[in-house]
Amino acid sequence: MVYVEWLRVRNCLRILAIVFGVLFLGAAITRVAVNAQMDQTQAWVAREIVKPGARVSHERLSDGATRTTVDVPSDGDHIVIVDRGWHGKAITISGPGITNDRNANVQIGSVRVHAVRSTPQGGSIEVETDEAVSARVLLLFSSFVALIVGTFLAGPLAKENGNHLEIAWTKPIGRERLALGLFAVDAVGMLAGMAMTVVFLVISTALFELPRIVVDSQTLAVLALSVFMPFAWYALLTAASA
Amino acid sequence: MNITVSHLSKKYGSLAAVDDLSVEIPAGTIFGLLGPNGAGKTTAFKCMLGLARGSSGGVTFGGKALAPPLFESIAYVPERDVLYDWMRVSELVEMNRRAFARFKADRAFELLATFGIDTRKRARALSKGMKTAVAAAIAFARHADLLVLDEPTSGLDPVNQRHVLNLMVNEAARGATVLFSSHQIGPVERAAERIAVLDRGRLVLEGGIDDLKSGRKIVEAIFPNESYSLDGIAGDPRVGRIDRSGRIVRVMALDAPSEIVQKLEAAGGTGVRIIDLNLEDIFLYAVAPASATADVVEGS
Repeated sequence: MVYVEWLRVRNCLRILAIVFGVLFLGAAITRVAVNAQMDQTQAWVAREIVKPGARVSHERLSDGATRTTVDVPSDGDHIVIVDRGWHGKAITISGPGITNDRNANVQIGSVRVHAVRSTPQGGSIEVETDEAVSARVLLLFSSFVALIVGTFLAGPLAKENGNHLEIAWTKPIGRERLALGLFAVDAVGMLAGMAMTVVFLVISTALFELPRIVVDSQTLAVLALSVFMPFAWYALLTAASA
Repeated sequence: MNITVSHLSKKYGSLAAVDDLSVEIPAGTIFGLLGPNGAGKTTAFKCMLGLARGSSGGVTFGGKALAPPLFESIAYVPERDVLYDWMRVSELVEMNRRAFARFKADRAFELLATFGIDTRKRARALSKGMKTAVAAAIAFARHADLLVLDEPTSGLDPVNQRHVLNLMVNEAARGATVLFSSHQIGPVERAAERIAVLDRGRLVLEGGIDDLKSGRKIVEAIFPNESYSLDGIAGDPRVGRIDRSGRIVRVMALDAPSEIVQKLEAAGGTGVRIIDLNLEDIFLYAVAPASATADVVEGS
């Protein structure tokens, strides 16, 4: 009875998948573009280590991580690399050659780069590859996308009433049941849109570094709000178009 | 499935689109609803099927009031294009397969092939006639007990028109009731066993086509010039209608056509002959004078 609405949902999600596909392609291209830059950083560290006079020390920390400290007296650079295995790396580079004209803190997925404004004595850069990504951020993003999906799907009864009344109202099903069926299908569509958004965000950030998603005490409330908002918007539009 | 329409009315303000319509449609018959444009045929169908709320009166199908489960056995083809433009024809078939337990998808595809419809096409890519054909093919594949077809031959080419009419006859032969409307005489005359004529919302004529024709004849005469008088004929109660087109006069005789012949000959008519009535004559008689096509129309 609600086959047409399933098709509408399918078409809407297909468009969403195409948009995400294009964005993912963009992320993949960006990943390839910055790949050389990321390699340069590693190569730079490797070069520092082999510089004449460089002192390298390794230390096993109590949590199992390995801390590598590199001091390069000739340049005055000091590098600390804490390798936590699956839990990523924390790299701190400081020295007179680092000139940051302002403080900066950028996070993309689990990768956070924190640059401290340089003084005449030099500056420092901290790179953390295992920064926590709150599930709340993902949910709010997905809620926004579900809101857009809901906007497209809203008013199924008005769509039927406008041009297809003769088909919709001559089915062997009560009108109330048909209406509820249409709403249920749209609800599934919006939830699917949310799920697609979460998956897209995770795999897109995983292109750069596997994200460490953190669920905290407020996540459940945000989840409820994230679901409620697009549904409320959908209900509002449907009521307005009825 | 027989249909009983009792005193059905639908009013829009002071305008009565359907005015006190009462008609009994026996099960297994092909019933044609005729009427000029705007006569109220589509509104009557909509009221019958619950798509518009009637102002008064009621309809029963096989003795039962209309309820959602009844639509399992009622197939409706509306006059206007209501197909989902963005759907493929095959998806429209699938939609019906899922909605109606008795729907035969194989039959639908077979009929669509007969109509020459490419089922991979989207509805928006079809012409008006093709859309009508799709709607009709799907309705005929429903295996319904009642088919309500509003202008089912509209926009179709003569071959497909004939095909639809044959399918209607086949459906009736299987026991289904076929109720269809048209403002064209030809399709109704070819397929219908009984007709009703609506004019400005009112039922003006109803009955079996043979019954309506019986006893009535057309008397046709040709006059030598256009200055002739029919004073003695126009007032005759046996005359239903007079159509004058130049020198040609056609008189519908409700009774005693031979006496009308004599009167026309006395008035100067030549080549006077009695011919059988066709449905167009019945229709024009029912809706005269508003829908007449002759130059001059008179009649009771």
